[in-house]
Amino acid sequence: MADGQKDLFMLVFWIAAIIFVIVEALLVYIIIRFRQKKGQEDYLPKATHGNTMLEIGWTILPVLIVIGITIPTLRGIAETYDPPKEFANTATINVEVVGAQWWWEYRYLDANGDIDFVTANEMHIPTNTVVKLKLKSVDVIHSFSVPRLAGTRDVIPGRDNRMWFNATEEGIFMGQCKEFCGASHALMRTIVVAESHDNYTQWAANQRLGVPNSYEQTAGWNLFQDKGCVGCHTIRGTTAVGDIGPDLTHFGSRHSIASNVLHKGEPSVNFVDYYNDLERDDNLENLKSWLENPPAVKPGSLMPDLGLTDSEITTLAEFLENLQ
Amino acid sequence: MASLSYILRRPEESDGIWGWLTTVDHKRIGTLYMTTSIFFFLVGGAEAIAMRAQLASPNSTMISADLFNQLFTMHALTMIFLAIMPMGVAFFNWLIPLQIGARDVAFPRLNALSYWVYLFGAITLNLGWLTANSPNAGWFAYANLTSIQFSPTVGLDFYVLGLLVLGTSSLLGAMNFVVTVINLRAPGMTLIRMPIFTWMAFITSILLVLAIPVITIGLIELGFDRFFGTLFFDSAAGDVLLWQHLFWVFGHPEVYILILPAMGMVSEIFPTFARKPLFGFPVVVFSGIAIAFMGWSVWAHHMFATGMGPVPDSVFAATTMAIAIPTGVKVFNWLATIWGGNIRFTTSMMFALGFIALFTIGGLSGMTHAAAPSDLQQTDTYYIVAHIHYVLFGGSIMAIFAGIYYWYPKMFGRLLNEKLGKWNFWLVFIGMNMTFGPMHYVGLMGMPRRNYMYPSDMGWDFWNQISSGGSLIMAVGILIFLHNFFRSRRKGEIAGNDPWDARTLEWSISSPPPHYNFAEIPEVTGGDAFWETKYPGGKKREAPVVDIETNDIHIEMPRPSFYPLITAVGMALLALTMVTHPIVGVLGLLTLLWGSYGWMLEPAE
Amino acid sequence: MHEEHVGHTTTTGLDNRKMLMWVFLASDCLFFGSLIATYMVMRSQSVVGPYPGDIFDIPYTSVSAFVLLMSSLTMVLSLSALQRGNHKATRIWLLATAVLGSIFLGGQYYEFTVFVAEGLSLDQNIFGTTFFVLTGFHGTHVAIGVMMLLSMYGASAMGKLPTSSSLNLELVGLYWHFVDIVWIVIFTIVYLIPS
Repeated sequence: MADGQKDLFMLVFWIAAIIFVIVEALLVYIIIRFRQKKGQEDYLPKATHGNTMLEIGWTILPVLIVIGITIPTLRGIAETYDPPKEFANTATINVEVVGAQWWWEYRYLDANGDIDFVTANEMHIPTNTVVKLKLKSVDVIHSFSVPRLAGTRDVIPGRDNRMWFNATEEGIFMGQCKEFCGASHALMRTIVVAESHDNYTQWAANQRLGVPNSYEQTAGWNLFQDKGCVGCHTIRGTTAVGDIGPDLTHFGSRHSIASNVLHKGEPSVNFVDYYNDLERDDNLENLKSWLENPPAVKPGSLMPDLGLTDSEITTLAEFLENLQ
Repeated sequence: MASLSYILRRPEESDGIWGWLTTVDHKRIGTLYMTTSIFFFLVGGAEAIAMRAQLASPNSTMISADLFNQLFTMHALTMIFLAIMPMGVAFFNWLIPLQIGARDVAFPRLNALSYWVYLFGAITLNLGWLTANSPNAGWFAYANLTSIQFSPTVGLDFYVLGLLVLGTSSLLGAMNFVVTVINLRAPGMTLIRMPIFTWMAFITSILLVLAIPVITIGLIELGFDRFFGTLFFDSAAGDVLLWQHLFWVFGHPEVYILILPAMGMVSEIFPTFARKPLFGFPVVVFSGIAIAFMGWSVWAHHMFATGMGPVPDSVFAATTMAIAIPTGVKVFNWLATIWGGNIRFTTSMMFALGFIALFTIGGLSGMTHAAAPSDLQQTDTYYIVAHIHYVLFGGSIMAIFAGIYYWYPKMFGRLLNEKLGKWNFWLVFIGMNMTFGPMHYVGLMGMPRRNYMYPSDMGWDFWNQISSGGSLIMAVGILIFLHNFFRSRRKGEIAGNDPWDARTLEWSISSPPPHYNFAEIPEVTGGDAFWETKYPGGKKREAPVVDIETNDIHIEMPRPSFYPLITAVGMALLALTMVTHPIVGVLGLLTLLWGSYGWMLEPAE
Repeated sequence: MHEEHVGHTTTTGLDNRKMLMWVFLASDCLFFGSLIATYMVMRSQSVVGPYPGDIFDIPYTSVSAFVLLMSSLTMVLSLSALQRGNHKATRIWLLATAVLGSIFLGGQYYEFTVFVAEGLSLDQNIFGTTFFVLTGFHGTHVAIGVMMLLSMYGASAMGKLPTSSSLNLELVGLYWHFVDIVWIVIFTIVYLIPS
């Protein structure tokens, strides 16, 4: 969808640019040619009150330009809701996007429209596949936006919205909530990972799995229970079924923390460099600073400062990273 | 002598503070509006500078998220409702009676009431700063972020109450101006002979009369949800999107309310400084009417992302494209006005020319938003912020500067300093482009708006630095303006009646005008009424036009009154009930009744 | 009250104050229009009851609508009396208008208490919200009107409402008729048209 939007924008932009050049050039010409010359202070130019032909002309011309722009605009509008006909035979996946203050839940649907698996903040898609999104909110209005794939669509409590996109090449696409939604609106981000069909199938198969029972023997799991994390988070395969915060079942396989506020690389590396080179080893520093004091990282965050000691933080961080 | 009836008597003309508190003279009220709106323009500017300081670098921790959210909310509210709109009203107050050859507006005490209510509304809106709890959900305050559940602090209560009070002020003023323009014109001044500024002011006032009630209802519904638990914007029981519709049905005409007075001002300034009449006067008038009318049909272009469906999206895209036409026609008429002219580059004229240059850019970027699919990429990015500021700063504010440099001599009897004016112009012009130009680019590169900080190396860092630098240059230009404004009150060159050799009636009387404006109400025989008396048949009159200077003229003018002030206090107290205590409401009601009955019963003029 | 300004000519010949009242009524049209539009957009959206069909008592409300309509008649009679210089009749009809208006308000109050007892409140459902806010603001307009009528009565009783000031009464009349017409619209859209 993004390509169609870009084409439309370029069309209107160039027309606007031409009009801009003409108007500004006229302005500059007038300023130079008709400025008052010395000794001419009293000169009264011809008091032309108007010219009907000109008025008609410069009304009709804009009308034609406007019609010229409106037609491709109208054609493009239906496409912002549903894929156009040429995608009728393309493979499709359906994902429910649920916006909450300040993170994204992704519920992948199976062929019957039932929930296949749930993940958060990182959406994987196969390339050259139509991804149909159903958009919902559990609290206030948000807006789901991954600019390089498609424009934005609001996520409104009490109404379902829809959009679609289709990645033609592999890559990591960054997105962000676009509708002001409170304290951490600026930090409600997401990433979409477009990968080959095989890699996607493997990813999805992994996502469907819960974690093995052995996890409940670990020190990290004890902490996860003692500190109350189970009240808000789900880890499938365990007794943690909280649904207030993101699903953490495969947290370790994700590249970012707290809806891409922090990534899992070295803190000093910026997002663009990090995502361009995912071969780097993961680094636990950012995860630890999140666990240490979530509201400090994400103002207004519902996850409180749990008052964890350094060793508790390390244990938890390792536990979470092991949830691959 | 200190009987009750003496204390409550209608004051005679007085000087000093009491004179200003009880004035009903449109010129004084205009000055009150002007100085108050300049003050709030500076407040809004400070809020902007703070934001630009934060955004000068990525990942900045200078300003917290919550403070930033309050800043961008208050910056917009202040600039729109406390600076640009009241500045327009300042000019309506000063110029409408003078341009139509009247002695005052139709309802002088109502006029005073409008000002005091504005002042109290402005204070109410800013009360949040006292506890660092200003409104923080954006000036557009979308439901249901604004519900008690998601915004429990008092900031949004100040939003609701402050805007209700301010809306009342605008409505009362607008009603007054509508009656004034229809009913108080000098003999012979048919509507088509009326000056273009007054025309635009008239259209703006009609828009206000019709648009303000809509936002009033929106605010009442939001207030009821917050204070009384109603369900208007409840996500389950009501409709969250209802707020957006009500807000933008008001909001779109509102932007024309912000720009039409500006267009009116430059339409007066170009003819004067090019020494030719406005090209296509009836067409410019009719375009203004067309814009006002069509402005009601475009509101949901602010809602393209909400998923209304392809049909509404298409309708609103089409109507939005259409409104570019009368706007473009105006620009062409201005260009044709100055084409072939004898152009004097006074500061006022430079600002007016700057207006064309910059407003055109804003209008053209607006056209790109009208293409709904493409808007889905632009919306809520800095590209929109660029558009807004090119039309509101590059448009309204530049025209307001032009208007101030043009009419200040009439208001205060002295010219503003031209040298300082040129510095003012260039710094503001360059600074403005430096600040808002790059926003087009970073917006298209994806930088979202209303974000208290942004990550580094997205390609936005350098341009944000440029923007922040530009804002400082603008600030210096505005400080120079302030210096010019205050210095020229005492040291400016004496203006005389008609320093610019202008065309409309306000220039036919002294600067500042006498209390009663015109010693004799003029008889008007054509448009540009004053010009015709100076240059009958296009040739300069041999003898200069003599103004009937007057110290022996005694013309009865409406006496001052303190009831507008009292009534305004009553309204403000009533509004504040919801955030204080019911006793305040009782007090407010009693004060309001005292003000109203006193007003009705006090001896006539 | 202000004396008429004799010879205070206006461009249209219409008195400024009358024009102001018309402009104000135009804005009030948008005010009520927005409230009515809100009601209409949200009608049939209530998630829970009670619903309009469950609680409206059309005969009862028809009577109160009729009472308000009659008050417009007495208003006209009052103005006509003043214009003919019959001050006693002016006062009688003014009082009648105020009384009829108050009966209407009393009827509203009673009707609302019944609705509340049947489970409809401001925050029960969107029907309650939109209904009570719309009719509440209308009732407030009526109440302000009654206050103005009584003020006019008082002025007349004190000899301060001469025939030459009949414009003041005419302005109150214009307001009163407007409020009545708004009720006709509300009654039709809210009560009579089934949702």
